[in-house]
Amino acid sequence: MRKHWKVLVGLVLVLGLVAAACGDDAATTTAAPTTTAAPTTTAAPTTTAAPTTTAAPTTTAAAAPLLVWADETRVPIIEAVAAEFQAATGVPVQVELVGFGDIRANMVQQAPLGEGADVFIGAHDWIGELVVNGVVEPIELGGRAAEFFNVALDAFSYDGKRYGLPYAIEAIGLYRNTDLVPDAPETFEDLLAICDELGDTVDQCLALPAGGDAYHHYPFLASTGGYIFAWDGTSYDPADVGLDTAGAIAGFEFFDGLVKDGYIDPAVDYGVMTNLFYNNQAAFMWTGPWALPDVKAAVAAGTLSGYATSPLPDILDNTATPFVGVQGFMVNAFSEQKALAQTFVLDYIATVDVMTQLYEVGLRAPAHIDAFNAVAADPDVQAFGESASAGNPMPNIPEMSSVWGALGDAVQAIYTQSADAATALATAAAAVREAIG
Amino acid sequence: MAASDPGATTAVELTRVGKTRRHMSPRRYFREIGWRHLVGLVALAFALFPLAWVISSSINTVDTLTTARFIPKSTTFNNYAKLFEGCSWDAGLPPFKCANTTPMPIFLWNSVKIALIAATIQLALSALAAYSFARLRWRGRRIGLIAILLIQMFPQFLAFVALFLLLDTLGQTFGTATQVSLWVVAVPLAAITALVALVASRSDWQRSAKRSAYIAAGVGGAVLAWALIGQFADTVWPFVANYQVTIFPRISLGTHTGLVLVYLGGAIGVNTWLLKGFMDSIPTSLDEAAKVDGASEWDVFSKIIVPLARPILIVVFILTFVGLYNEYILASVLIRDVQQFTYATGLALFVESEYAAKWGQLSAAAVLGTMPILVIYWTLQDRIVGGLSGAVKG
Amino acid sequence: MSFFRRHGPGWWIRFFGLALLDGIVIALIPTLWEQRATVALVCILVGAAGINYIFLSSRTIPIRWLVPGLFFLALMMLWPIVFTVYIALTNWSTGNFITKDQAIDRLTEGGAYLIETEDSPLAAMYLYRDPSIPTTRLDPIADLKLLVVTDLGEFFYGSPRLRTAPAPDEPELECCVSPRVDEEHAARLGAESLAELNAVDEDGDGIPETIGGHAKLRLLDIGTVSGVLDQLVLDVPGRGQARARTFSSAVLAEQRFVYDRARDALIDRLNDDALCPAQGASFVCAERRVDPGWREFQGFDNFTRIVGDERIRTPFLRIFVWNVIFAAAVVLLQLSLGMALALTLDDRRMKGRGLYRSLLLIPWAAPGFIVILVWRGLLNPSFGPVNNQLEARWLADLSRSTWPRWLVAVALVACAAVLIWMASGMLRRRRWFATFFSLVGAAVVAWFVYKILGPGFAVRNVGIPWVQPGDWFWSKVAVIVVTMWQGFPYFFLICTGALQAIPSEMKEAAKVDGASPFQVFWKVTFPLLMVGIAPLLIASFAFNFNAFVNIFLLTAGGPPVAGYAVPFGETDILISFVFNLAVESGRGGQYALAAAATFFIFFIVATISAISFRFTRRLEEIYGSL
Repeated sequence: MRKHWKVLVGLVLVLGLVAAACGDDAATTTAAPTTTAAPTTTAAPTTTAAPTTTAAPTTTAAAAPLLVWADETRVPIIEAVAAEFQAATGVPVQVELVGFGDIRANMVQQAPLGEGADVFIGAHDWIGELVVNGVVEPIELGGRAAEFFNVALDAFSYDGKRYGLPYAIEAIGLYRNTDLVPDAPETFEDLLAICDELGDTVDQCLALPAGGDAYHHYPFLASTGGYIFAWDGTSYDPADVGLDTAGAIAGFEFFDGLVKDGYIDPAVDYGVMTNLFYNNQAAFMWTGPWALPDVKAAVAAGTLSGYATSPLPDILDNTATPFVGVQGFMVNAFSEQKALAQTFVLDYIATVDVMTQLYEVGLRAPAHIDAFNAVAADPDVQAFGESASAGNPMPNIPEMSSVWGALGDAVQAIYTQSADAATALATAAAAVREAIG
Repeated sequence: MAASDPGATTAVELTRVGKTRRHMSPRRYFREIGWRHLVGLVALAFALFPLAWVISSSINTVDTLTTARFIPKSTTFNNYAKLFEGCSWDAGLPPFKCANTTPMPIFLWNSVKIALIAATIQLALSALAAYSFARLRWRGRRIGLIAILLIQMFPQFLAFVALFLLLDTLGQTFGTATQVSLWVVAVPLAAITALVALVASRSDWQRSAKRSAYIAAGVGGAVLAWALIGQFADTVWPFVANYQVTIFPRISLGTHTGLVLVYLGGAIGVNTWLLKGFMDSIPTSLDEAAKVDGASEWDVFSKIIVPLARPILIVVFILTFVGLYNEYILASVLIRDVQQFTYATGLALFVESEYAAKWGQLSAAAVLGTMPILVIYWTLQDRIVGGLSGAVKG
Repeated sequence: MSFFRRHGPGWWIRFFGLALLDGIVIALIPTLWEQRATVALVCILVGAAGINYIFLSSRTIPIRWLVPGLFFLALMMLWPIVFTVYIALTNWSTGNFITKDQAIDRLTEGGAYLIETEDSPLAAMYLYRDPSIPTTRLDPIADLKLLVVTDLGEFFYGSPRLRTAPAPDEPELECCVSPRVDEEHAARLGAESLAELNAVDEDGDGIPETIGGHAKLRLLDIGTVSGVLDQLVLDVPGRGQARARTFSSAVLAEQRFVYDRARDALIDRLNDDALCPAQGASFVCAERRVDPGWREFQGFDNFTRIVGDERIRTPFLRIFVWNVIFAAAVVLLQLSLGMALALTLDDRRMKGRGLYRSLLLIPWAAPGFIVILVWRGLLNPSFGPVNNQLEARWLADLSRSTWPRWLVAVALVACAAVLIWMASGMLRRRRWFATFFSLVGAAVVAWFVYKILGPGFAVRNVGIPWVQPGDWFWSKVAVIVVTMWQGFPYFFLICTGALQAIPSEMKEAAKVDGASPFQVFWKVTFPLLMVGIAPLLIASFAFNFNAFVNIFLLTAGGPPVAGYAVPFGETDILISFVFNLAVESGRGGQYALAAAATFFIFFIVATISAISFRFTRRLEEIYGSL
């Protein structure tokens, strides 16, 4: 200590100097609210940075920007709406591109910290987790609910309250190569007959994304009477698991038969399926409307001769029941500007114009009735729409997270032929019941 | 070095690097060098064939990654073109501006910048620590090194939440860049450097240190002069008078500075052990000789150890650079603005969901993205050789 | 001036550096104090004090070199570990994410628990303000007024309150009396109509533009009130409260829950003011949990759950064994291939070494997830090129063709001849191994020729089920091979660098002593390499032990294992298994459980590593450094 006292004195002197210099600028170093970053958007320059509007006097209480999260396909449309909103209200809207798969986790983790978006798009089966974590705010549609399909509104309901403004409905359907199969098969037996006829001329007759994908295989479970959680009209009952009912087993046995007879090849995953179909090597493709842009591109490039869509064929004399997915806009419960967010959603997004534009980029059937009717002439919209009308929405309760893995494993067990239908489903049901506890 | 045939070579031939081929019989060539090429080619084939498929899918018209045909039915360079769509040159950094939703050139720029800076600083920190472990004697050296390695082994799965919170908090304290006018920096700087020059003139430091001190004083004086001129001639040179110096960059969520700081957490770890091992193999006689001549530890480190350890330093730099360049999890959590994305997070944009992936563009981006790494490695790889053989003779 | 002479430049650098650091810390103290960030403040002070001590004391000179690295290690590595501990001690999971205060706020003020009035809950809403007061000094409560117009034509006009302010027992409005409101409340509705308040309706749409000096806000003015819009509540006697829904509409509703702080319970107004006490991280109403709950400290419950849970214990050993085999196999294979290539390409006389080295780096330099996905396509059992080549259709085609058959056969015979000639040369030199291999090679070639010219190859359906859906054995092989492929350049690079450290004198000395190339490698090069790289192997083992990304992308855990109550796959490793469990149990998202599991896995890996380190110490003692 004795050696160093001079050092310490010197330190203190210099400290004073430095602290004084920095202290002057305390104003610039104090906490900055995290939302002051200039809004950076990703598209054309017409919709960047907040212009100060000429009419309203801007004050320190002038609106913090409204933050919207959307995925890449929909960002351009929302930015156009944002520009309109900004012009009409003077409030800047910042549209951020976030991957669709990341939005849910980001909202759950970041919204309570104040970092979440005010408005975000998402799928209806996220609602359970979001509501239970208190992250999403109900959207009061009032009379305007009549403008949307009931199935879409119900999909976004939880415990009697509606939590999202739906914009698209999707369900899987059947694509066919019109060169090989000019007419749509009505029943699965018809489809198998066509496959037998085609024989070796085609590499894979029915291309279905194999693997532990419970979503695509749900029709085999539900068409014959199986279900995941019982629906009593307003909510799902997690105690009543219907994976191992007789109906479910019957459907899965049919599916097992398809694998055994070689109609479905376990090696065909989603990528292989699309590759085969786009190169004229498959007669049927079993997936949803999201593939339409690529299918049309393949036709344009000449690798695919021609395509048509139809609802899924009947399974064992029952109308096929696929999963219905609904996408919509939701409002953050931790937002400081909920009223503004709802204004944005209800007054600017819920218009026929925007709904139609959203259809045009995503090619999923609009959930808005008028917009749907406007595009209903399109045969693909009709086919997928018909498929969806026979389908069930995915249960949106948080307990659903236990189901995907278990059901996927049951499907995989059939593909590896390591269990028969009854055992596989029994194991899955037991696993789900035990996981839910 | 080469496993050679005893008795079949002459000393003359061994020392003529690169020219010996002309003097070797084909049989000897194959036995000494040819088989190496063979092995190398086989290894290359094994290493590169999946990449060939990536290239194939990047020029395929159909958007797919799982294709059975190596040569696509119809090809197009559209995928590459789309990556650069809407990009134009710009003044400033980065030197281009892109208006499309997935501006790959910007992602590459960001990644290279962040990885270069972070890898350099990491290397410096690691080398300093390695010197301490290798050369300085203190208790608990080995325990310390093992402890550091064990800490780095902790599965960092919830780390991203923790670091998100950390940067969020940091952002509230350092949320804006600390900028001060030139005056505030110039006066203390000039005073301190003048003091240092004064001290240097009256001390018995080495000449190089004194020279550095005088140069520093000169720079301090020049900056002060500039600030003075600016103040008094602010109508003529207003930009000088109003010049703001950023003495502390903005550190918060979504900034590259924040990300670089997070990456520095991994600086001392396995790399330190590697450097330490290499430094251990440098004979201590060199140190002792230097110390007898009056060198300090720092001199030994900077003038002896570092130059001799150059091969391993470059290897560690490359390893770190590649690791940071491809790092995805932390970058995806900490950076949200698409214009600030790195390469790995930019790639993820193409694969939002398995059903809607743009495989063609993804493959093209993957091919382009590997280029910077190859370029950097290519420029540095010949400096990996060298090392000790020359030094030990002395 | 001896003071100046005593201290060298290093001392001065330390002095100014410390001064700067202390200055920054002191400048930060007031800011942190304001924000009440006590933890951060304490950490910063302790850290700064520690750094000062290290640089001033003469006993800690070696540590000074470590300070910068340790600083970042502490901040970016130790802090997440501490955080993981903290999480593991809570009940953080879906439904228990937010803090208790936030949960109470959501329950008492959120839209999820609003009870709407029975008739016409939605109403139009208009805001009015006194235009003489500049917006910068606008007090939302005193200077704003709300007009609510229901579907049934009722007008309610008055001053709003902030929702956080207590609701008045007897709210009053300025206007207007409505026949639908019962008598008890009618008296407090103020004037009969807006006309009495000097309302001026210029455009005749029924909504006045000014009411008694207050002007209606236009849509463009929304920015001036957007910050408070959510907070405004208009108490309407007899009809509940009007809350802003959008800028121009409101909802008439009542809040279902009120929080009773004294009893730490919610009062449920929908069920006759029943009490919903707080039980176990959420409120419980009539035996049913009310969402959202909150996160709270739970002690070591998660740790005991992991140890005690049947579903984790049963497959644990099996998964653990596979995990160890996977990590060890990957590390050994990567090392072997990398080292072999480094030695092979380590000849100065070889041209194009740089090219080889750069290209060989690509498997490791290319972005991981896309190459793994490509591998998944390559390994597809029915459509992937790997199986297609193994099925060797082309070979069958060749053996059935005409002149290509003979051409290939002639070439192969030439190769066989060369091999036999080499074998004879080796034999003369008494190189037994080399002779043996050459002869074997010649035999294989001869067999090929025979098959091509004679019976021919048949098309075999190999169809190895690498992935999709996979097989208990082949999927594991696939995962190991792909991970090995991805990582060998790392060891290649390191061995290339480390080889430079081995002085050629030792190798020359060995050669002079008559050692064969193999002996030179095994007795000189290899041990010295190992001493340097051993810790790297251990670290690599630890890294691969938890590397589930490759497995996930390639097989998603692999074909499911039948017969267990909990779903897991053949190629699942501990961390993916446990994390899946955490994400899929109960209501999902059980991060606290996952955090606790992280500790167990770390413990296992650390134990294995610590044991290995003792072993490397022995190595170091034997071979030492030069």
